[in-house]
Amino acid sequence: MVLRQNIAQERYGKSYSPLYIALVFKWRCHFYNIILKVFGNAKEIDFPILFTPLEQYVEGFTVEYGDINALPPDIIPERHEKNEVGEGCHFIGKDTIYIFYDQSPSISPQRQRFTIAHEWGHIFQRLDWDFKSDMEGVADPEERDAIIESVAHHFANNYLVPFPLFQSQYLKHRKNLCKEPTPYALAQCFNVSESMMKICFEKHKDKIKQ
Amino acid sequence: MLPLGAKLRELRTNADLSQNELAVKAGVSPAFVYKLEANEYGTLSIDKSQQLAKGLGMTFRDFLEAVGLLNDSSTPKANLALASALRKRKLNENQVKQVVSYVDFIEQGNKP
Repeated sequence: MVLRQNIAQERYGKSYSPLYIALVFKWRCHFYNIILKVFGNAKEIDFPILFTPLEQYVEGFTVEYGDINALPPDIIPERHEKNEVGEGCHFIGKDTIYIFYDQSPSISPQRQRFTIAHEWGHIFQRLDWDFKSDMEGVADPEERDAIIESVAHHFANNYLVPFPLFQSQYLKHRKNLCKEPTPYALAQCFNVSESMMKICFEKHKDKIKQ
Repeated sequence: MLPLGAKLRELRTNADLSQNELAVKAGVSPAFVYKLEANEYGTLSIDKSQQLAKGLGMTFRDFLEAVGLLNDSSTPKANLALASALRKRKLNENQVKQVVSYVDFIEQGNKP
C-alpha cells in the first residue's frame, strides 16, 4: 500500500543502515531491468503509459481492478492505522490478480495511477522468488517493510516515467519550445503528478544535460 | 524448500526438450538451466520464470503453478526469518533451534 511506505519508513525511523541502502539499490535496479523487459515484451506501448504491458507480462492471470472502498475494512487492517487512509492493496489468487485502489473523486487520477503502479510493484515482488528470499534474510521486520515499500515506490516511478521515454520527451519539448521544459509540462504528458515529475527531474538532471 | 530443479527437469522432459534447447527457447544460458536443475540455485527471479515459461510453451501462471511457486510462498530463507522473529521474542538459540525443528517436523507431515 502507498500509505504503508510512510508508516514503514516512520516506524523504521532510524537513519538508513548500509544493509537498507544496499538492498534498496540492488532491488531497485533489478526491477528497473524487469520493467524494461516488460516494455520489450509488450505488443504495443500507449502513451501516457497504461498497465496493459504489466498485464501481458503475467500471462495466464486475469487482472481485475476494483475500488478499495468497497472492501470490508478487516481485510486491509493497515488502512486505518494512524487515522490515515490507505490507497491501494492487492491479492494474488489462483487465476486472478486483484488490485484495489481508492477511486474517490478526491483522489486525483495521477495519484490513482501511481497507487496502481505501486501495487504492481508489490505483485512483482511477490512473484519474484529471489526477492522474497532476500527479504526473508533481513532480520529486522521494520527494516524489511521499509525496504519492500521503498522498492515498490521506485518500481512505480520507473514504470510510469521510464528514463528512455522521459529523455525523449524532454528533448522533444526542448526542441519544440526552444527552452527547457518544466516539470508541469512533462507531468501532463506522462499523466503523473507534478511532484512526482519534479523527483524525476532531480533524478535524471545530470543524465539529461549530457 | 521446493525441489525446483526436479520440477523443472520434469517439465523440460515432458516438453521433449534438451537443456540446450530449453536455454535457446527461453533466452537463458545452458549453464543456467543446468545449475537450476542441479539445484545450485534455490530460487528464481520473476523474469527468469517468465522466460522459462515461454521456453516451455506455457503461460507464466501455469509455469508458477507447475513449479509450485503459486501455492507455496516459502523460500530457502524462510527459516532465517522465523529464527529472527523468535529471537525478537527473547528465545535463546537452543529454543530457536527447537521451534524451527518442530516446524520442519510439522511441515514434513503435511507433505503427501
